[in-house]
Amino acid sequence: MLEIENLQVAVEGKEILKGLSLKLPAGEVHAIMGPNGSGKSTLSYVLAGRDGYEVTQGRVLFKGEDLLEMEPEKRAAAGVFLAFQYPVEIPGVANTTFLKEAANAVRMARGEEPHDALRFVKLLRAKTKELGMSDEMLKRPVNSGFSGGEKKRNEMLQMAMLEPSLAILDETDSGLDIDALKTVSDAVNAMRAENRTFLVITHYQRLLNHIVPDQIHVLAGGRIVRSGGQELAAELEARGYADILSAAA
Amino acid sequence: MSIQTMTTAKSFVDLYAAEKARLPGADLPWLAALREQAAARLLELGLPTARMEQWRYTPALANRIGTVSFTEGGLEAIGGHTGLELGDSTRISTRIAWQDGRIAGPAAALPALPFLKIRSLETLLAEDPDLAHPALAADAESESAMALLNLALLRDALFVELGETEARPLLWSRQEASGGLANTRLQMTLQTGAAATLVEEIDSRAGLSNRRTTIALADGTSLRHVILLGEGQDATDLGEMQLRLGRDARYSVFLRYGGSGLARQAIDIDLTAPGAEAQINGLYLLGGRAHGDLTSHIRHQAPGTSSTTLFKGVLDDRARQVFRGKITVEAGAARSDGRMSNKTLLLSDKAEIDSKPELMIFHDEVQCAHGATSGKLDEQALFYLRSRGLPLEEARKLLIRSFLSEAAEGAEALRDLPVGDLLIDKQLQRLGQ
Ligand SMILES: Nc1ncnc2c1ncn2[C@@H]1O[C@H](COP(=O)(O)OP(=O)(O)O)[C@@H](O)[C@H]1O
Ligand SMILES: [Mg+2]
Repeated sequence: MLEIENLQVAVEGKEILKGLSLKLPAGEVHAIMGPNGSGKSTLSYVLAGRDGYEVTQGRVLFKGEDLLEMEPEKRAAAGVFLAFQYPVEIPGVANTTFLKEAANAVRMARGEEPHDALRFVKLLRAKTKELGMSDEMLKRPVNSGFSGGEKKRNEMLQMAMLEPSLAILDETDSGLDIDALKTVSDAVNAMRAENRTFLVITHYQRLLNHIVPDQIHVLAGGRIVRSGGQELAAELEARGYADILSAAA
Repeated sequence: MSIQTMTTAKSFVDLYAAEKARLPGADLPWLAALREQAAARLLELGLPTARMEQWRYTPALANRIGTVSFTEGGLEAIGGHTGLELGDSTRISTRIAWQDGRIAGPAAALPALPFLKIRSLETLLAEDPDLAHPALAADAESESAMALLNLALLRDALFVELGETEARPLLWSRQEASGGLANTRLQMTLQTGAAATLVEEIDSRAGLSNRRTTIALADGTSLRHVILLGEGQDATDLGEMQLRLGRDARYSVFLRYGGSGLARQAIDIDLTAPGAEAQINGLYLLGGRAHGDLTSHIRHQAPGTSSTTLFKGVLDDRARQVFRGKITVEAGAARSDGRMSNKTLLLSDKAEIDSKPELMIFHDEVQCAHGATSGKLDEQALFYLRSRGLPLEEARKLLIRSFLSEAAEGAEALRDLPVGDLLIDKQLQRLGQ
């Protein structure tokens, strides 16, 4: 699904990713863990196509195509979805309007029929309920005045409506209480499928107890310094990053 | 006279001299005298220039006004398409069409209902000259060059008198001008208990349209007023409006300009009695070298009066917008509330906003606030929307629309017209192309 080869990225002249390689096969869930400032969000933004990130080396193939060449909306249409660590507030645009425009934009770009109004509302209601969100949040402007947890749920709602083939979750667990974490994890697990890949970025092992990944990678200093199974998360939890990093150095 | 020529007050006064014998009411000595007085004063005063405080940010008027002549477009409406549908059809609605400064069609066709009287200048001068006299006499004393010009060369006017009625009549006035000079005048009185909606569309293709409006709202009346300024390429549209509100009278106006010429609307509102309320909402979407100017002065003259002004602009290319909002709270106006806000979105580095809010408060016990902000489209929001699959142009439009929606959504003037979204969408199609 996704192949990242020797990716080097600079922001404002500062090197952040320094040769990152990663292979995500279709249908798998991979987790990236790493200390603050290690470049996790940078990686997710580069994959989603945000301006201001200069790729100095390496390449990224998504379903065999050069991902870095595509505009953000093309990537979305091709199936990339990023759940933002800090979702953006858009006052004045009703959440429903936004969700509908987005869902239909990607559907059209994928050569599918746009949702008819009734079907869309039904689908949206169902997903909203699954995520423990109130209908009232659909009427409010996108993320405006939402609590941290509500914003994260709203990201998951967008993911559910956009049906991506690669979903990147950037610290979706932060800001969620235990119940919300469970609800969100259930929703993610329900979306796991053979033709869908997840890249779950997190700081804590906690999330990975609910969303059990196929592989865990540790990102530090702009590189993947270790990869392993569920036992790696336990090790990180027990010993902290410092230990692992010094061992990897 | 070519477009490049500097137009001066003298050009207009010359036109006046040539035309005066043919102007309506030429045989009425009092009117002829007022016109004469106005022309003479105009000559002394000259056209507005950037040296005048009220016009400081709207310079080069003299270079903009091209032909100083009347255009005879034929007195038939050219069947313009508004793109707007009249609301509730059960309501009494009246359409008035203007062409090149004159009401098109025979004046007799204007309806006369028991509670609604609509008359043209010639009819009024014939039937009821005393009604026309005070306002025209006041203009002859005016220090506004545009008011003087309007009076000197006025060819037609619309006089509306509205009495108490259950219904809220909808008046729809559409002005078209194909060039040259169109001086128009609208005088409206709402008698106690009256309520109405007035929509004015001004669609000049070129030339100068110089509109003058006076509205008196008696106690307990309500007027919802929508002004849609046209999209003419080279048109210069100048409007001056004066309102007086009595006890518990409510006036709301929604103003939109999306043209590429110059449009200036001055709004003067006197809140003369307790409970009078005014709401001014507007939006400008300007590209090219368009120039939009809103100059308002709201006077709180009695206790418990309130006013809100919310103006939003989106400026692209080299467009320029002027917002001069002034609120005066006079000494007797306890518990008055005046709020004013002007927010601008700049889509280009060359676009410019000149915002000058001003509060003059002569009473302690009042609430007044003003704010002005300007900024660019939020890059973060843009990326967020694109990452959800919205193409760049769609994302931009969605953000612009959301920015503007505040001005249209809260506008009481638009309450019974299904035009809110349309007003924005139509303009959006033209921006950023
Ligand atoms: N827009 C930016 N401008 C300058 N530095 C940035 C920017 N974004 C991220 N960085 C820097 O890049 C590094 C990695 O940041 P980030 O990717 O957000 O880390 P993480 O998500 O792992 O906490 C940090 O040192 C951060 O300060
Ligand atoms: Mg981060």
